[in-house]
Amino acid sequence: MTDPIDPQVTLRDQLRETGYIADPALVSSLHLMRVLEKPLLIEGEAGVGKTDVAKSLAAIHHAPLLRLQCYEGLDAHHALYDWDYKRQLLAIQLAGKQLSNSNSAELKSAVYSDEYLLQRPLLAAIRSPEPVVLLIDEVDRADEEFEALLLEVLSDFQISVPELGTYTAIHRPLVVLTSNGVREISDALRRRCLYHYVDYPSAAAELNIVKARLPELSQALAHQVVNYVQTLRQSQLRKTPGVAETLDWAAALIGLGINDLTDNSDAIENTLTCLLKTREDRDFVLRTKNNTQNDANSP
Amino acid sequence: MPTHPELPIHQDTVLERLGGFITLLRQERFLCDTSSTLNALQVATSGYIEHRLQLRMGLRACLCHSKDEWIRFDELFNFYWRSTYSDTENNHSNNNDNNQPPEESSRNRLIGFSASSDDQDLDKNITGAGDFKSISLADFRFVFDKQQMQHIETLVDSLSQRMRRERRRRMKPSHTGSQLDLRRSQQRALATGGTLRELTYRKPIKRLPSFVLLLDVSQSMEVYSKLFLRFTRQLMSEFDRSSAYAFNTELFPLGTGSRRLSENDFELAMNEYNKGWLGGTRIADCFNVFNNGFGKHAITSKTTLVIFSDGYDTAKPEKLIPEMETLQRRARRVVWVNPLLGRFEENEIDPKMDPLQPFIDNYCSGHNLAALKELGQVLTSS
Repeated sequence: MTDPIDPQVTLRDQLRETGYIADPALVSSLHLMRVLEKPLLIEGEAGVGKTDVAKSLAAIHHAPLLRLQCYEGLDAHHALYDWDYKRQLLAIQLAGKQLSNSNSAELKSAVYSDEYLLQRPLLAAIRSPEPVVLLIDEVDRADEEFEALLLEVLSDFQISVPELGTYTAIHRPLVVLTSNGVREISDALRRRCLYHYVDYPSAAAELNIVKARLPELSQALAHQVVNYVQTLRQSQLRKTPGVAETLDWAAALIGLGINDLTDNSDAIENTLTCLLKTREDRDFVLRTKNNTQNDANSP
Repeated sequence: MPTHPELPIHQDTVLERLGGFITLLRQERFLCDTSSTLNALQVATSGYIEHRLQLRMGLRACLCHSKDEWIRFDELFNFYWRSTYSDTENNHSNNNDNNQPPEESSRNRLIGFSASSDDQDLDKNITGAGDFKSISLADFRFVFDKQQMQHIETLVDSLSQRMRRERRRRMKPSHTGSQLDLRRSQQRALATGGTLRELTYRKPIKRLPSFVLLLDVSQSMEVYSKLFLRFTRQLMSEFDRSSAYAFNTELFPLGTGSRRLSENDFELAMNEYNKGWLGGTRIADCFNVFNNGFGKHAITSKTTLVIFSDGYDTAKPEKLIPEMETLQRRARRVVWVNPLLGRFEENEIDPKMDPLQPFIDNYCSGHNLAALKELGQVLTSS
């Protein structure tokens, strides 16, 4: 029996080296994903770093990252495989006049071969001769039909191509599914995955993330940025800023040469676009700021 | 074997109790299937058992499948496993008690939603039953027997079947249509050596609409709530992309259509949140909670929002306006069903609802069968 703590500490450090600061629960989930060879479904609000988990995993394992961006209407031809019909037709027409009964079977097997198979991300991950990280991003944007398609892939790590047979994964890919909760995912899909929910980070955790990602940011400014964003998250905004927005904002402040936000409300106002993504949220924040100033100025 | 100094436990004890813990989670409606159980067992036998925190995180990853389960897990874990980790020599004499969640004992059945039916008493008050025409026009306060309820269910069923399906982006192959499917046409042309003899077209698939239902279950809505709950359940069983929430002084989720909730499930959900029954209705506060929580994901630009409420709020209508504004902006359509509307004359407006009218697309009564039928027509219209 092995102690699960040591590999998790190693994994946490490896993630940190890639710039991803993971909390112990996420490290535990990622460790289990490798041990149990199960896909990991990560849910959470937009911008909390779900997609970056897969990127960091790929960096840690020095493995290619295969990404499948989901959308409504995504089907097998875009997710699994397709045949290159144009090239197949050319091959048929080239061989057309020379066809005889004996070689027609050969031609048929030739046009339905690897040469004419267009691998999409899921098949590419299954057939990859080296371990890969497969990111199925925003799976909630796809529809129920696509979820059904994923079931075989995620439970048995195999894909059936009727003309060629069934491909089973040589190396089980590390599969990360992300969801923003736009649509309820089916129980069947959930059951095939380990689950992790990513919440907004605490102030201390967010400060660590900002420092890791933007080492050139001064300590004082990093504190101010994180504190401001944490306060914003307490407000009732339509689109709460995530970690990605915090990093964007901090990068914007660096780019503008701003080193201190104290008594610099203009700098905040001018860069709010990095944090707030709707007009209503911007109006709300500016209104709140003005009210606070008026209260402070009143006798 | 390394052992955590604070956790002098015996492995067999914990493994033995893992089964009990999974049973508890199933009782709490977690999606713990065989695969999850095996994963949990593997986690427990992989050294995690020695570390309470690691075990919690490991089991949570294996046994949770949604945000709701994720949030509730820690409390259940701490409740269930505390005794195991603190008192290893316990002979499990209290296992049966431990299998009950802490709040279980305090649950009481909600007045007005209990299975023991007060319907029998209500039956005595029925006047004019027998003639459907008269029943269909009579307020639900006065007609509420089993036969009529069956009729309402039939009505809802037929209503559900007639619901228009909405167009979606996914396309399906078709022999006719306006959009040529070049890929499939090429595929078929392989059989004829590249000659396009038969073209294949594509047309969009249509799917069922989604509803979000907000039900006022305060005391003032007692008579109608029962019926609207049945209506909601029927609607959810037909439209699995729908979800329902109830509110009085607090908002709480009843479930989603995909879970195929039974009448009993609804009752359990209602009984679990019986605190606000007699405390008045805080519509504005509840809608605020909804808009900042469930509503962010439950409502999309394709959702029809149906609110069942008489509009009696402890706060002024002005407080509700920004919430209604948000709901209307997010939803495709807002339908407000006010059973008290049936008590007003035609064109007479309920003063407490007047300020909300700009944010309501359809204002219906639903106080009798005829009104419910009209509601059906409103919901089926695109």
